[in-house]
Amino acid sequence: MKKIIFTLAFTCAVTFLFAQKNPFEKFTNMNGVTSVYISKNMMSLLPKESKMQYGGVDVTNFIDKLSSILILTSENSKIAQEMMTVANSRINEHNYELLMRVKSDDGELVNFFMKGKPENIEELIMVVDGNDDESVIMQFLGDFKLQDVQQMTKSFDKKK
Amino acid sequence: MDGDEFKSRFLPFNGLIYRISFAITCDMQEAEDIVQEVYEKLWKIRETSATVRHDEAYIISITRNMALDRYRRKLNRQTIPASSLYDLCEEESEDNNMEHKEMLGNVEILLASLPQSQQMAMRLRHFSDLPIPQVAEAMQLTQTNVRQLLSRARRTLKEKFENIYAK
Amino acid sequence: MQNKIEILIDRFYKGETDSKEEELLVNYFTQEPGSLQGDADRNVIQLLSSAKISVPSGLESKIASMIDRWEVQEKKRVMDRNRIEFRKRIIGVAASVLLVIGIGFWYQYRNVENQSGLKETFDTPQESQEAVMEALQLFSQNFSKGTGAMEKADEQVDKTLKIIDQLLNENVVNTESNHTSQNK
Repeated sequence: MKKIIFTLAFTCAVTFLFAQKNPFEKFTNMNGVTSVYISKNMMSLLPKESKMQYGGVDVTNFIDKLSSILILTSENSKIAQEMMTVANSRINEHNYELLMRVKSDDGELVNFFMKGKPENIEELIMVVDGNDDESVIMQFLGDFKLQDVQQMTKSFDKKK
Repeated sequence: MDGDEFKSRFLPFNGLIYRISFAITCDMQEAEDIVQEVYEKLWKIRETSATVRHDEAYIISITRNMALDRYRRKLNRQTIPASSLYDLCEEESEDNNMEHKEMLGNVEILLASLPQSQQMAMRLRHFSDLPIPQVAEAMQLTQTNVRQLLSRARRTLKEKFENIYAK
Repeated sequence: MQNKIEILIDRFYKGETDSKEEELLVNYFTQEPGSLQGDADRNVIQLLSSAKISVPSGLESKIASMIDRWEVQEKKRVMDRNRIEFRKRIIGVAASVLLVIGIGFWYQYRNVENQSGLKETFDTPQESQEAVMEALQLFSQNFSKGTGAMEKADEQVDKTLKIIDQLLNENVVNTESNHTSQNK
C-alpha cells in the first residue's frame, strides 16, 4: 500500500516538473522570430571528426555537456521587447546570477546569466538587447562548469 | 485431508463422543454442542496432527477435556481438581425428553447416593453403554479399577433393593 | 442353564460382564417372571440396562453437513487468500514498474525540465552542426568582448602603473643628480 502511494506521489512530482514548460516556447512558432532548437539527441549525432573542418575548433567537450540549445532571434522590436521581458522575469524568478555585462559602442547590450554555481551550471543564457536592431536570446541547458565555457570561447578565439 | 476422507475416518465416532459428553454433563444439548466442538477441533488440526495411532483413545481424551472445560465454564468455576470430575451431574439434568428423564430419574435417584467415582463409572457403563476399556480411558483409570467401582456400585444397589423389599 | 445364569450374575456383581452377557441376563429376566435369584437382581439389572441413552438420530447427518460446510468455507478462504496474494503481487509489480518509469523520467529530465513543447529545428546532424557552430561562435564573440574588455582594462592598469613607476624613478634620479651636483 505504501509503495503505491509513494509511486503515485513520485509520478505526480515528475508530472509537475513536466508542467513547467519553457516560457520561451511560445516564441518558437511566432512570426517575426527565427528560432533554432537543438536537442541532446541531435548533438550526440554530430560527427566528431568533421568538426575539424570548421577551422580546427574542438568544442566536443562542451557540446557533450549540453542537453539543449535554444536560439531566438527577432528584428521586430515589439516581439523583441516581449522576449526581453520573459527572459528577465525568468531570470528574476529563479535567481539567476549575472555573469557578465557588455555594452558596445553601437548601443548593443549583452548580458550573460547563469543558473547554478560556477562549478555546476544548469543553464546559461545570453541575452542580446539590440534596441532596434536584432535581439537574440541564446539558452544553453546542461550540466557544465564555467571553465568549460571559457575553454570553448578560447577555442573560437584561437581560430581568429 | 479433504472432507470425505475426514468424514470416513472420524464421523463414526460421533456416537461415542455424544455418549461420553452426556455422561459427563448430563445434558443432551450440551452433549450435542460438545460433539460439534470436538469435530471442529479435529477439523482444524487434521493436517498438523500426526496420524494418531489410536484415534479412539485420542478422541476420548479430547472429548473428556472439552466436556470438562464446558462444564467448568458453565458453572463458572475456575479450577476443578480431577476428583471433582465426579461431582458433575449433581444438579438435576435439564432434559426435555420426559420419558428419558423418568427412566434416568429413577436410576439417578439410586445412583445419587453412591460415591462420585462409582456414579461416573456406572453412568459411562450403563447410560453411555461404553465397554469397560473405554470407561477406563474416559476416567483415566485402569480397567481393574473400573471393574471394582462397578462391582461396588452394583452390590450397593442390590442392597438397596433388598432393603426395599424387606420392608 | 441356571448355572450359566448364576455364573453370569456373579460376574456381574464383580463388574466383569460385558454388554453381551448383560443382554443375556436381561433376556432371561424378561422371560422368566419369577426367578430363583429374587427380585433385587432383576431390578438392578433391568433398571440399569434400560437407562441406556440413545444418540439423537440426526446427529451424524448434522455433523456431516457441518463438515461439508467447513470444507467449502475453507476452500473459499484459500481461494480468497490466493486472489489477494495474486493481486498484491500484481500491484507490487505495477508499482515497481511505475517507480522505474518515474525514475527514468526524472533522470532524463533532470536538467531539461522544459523540454516538453520544443521541436527539433533541423532534420539532419549536418544541418544542426552548422547551426551549433554558428551559435557557439556568436556566443564566444560576445563572451570574448567581455573578457577582452577585462583584459584591456587590465592592460591599461598595467601600463599606467609602469608610467607611474618611470616617473617616480626619474624623479629619484633627478633628485640624486641634484644632490650630487650640489655636493660638488
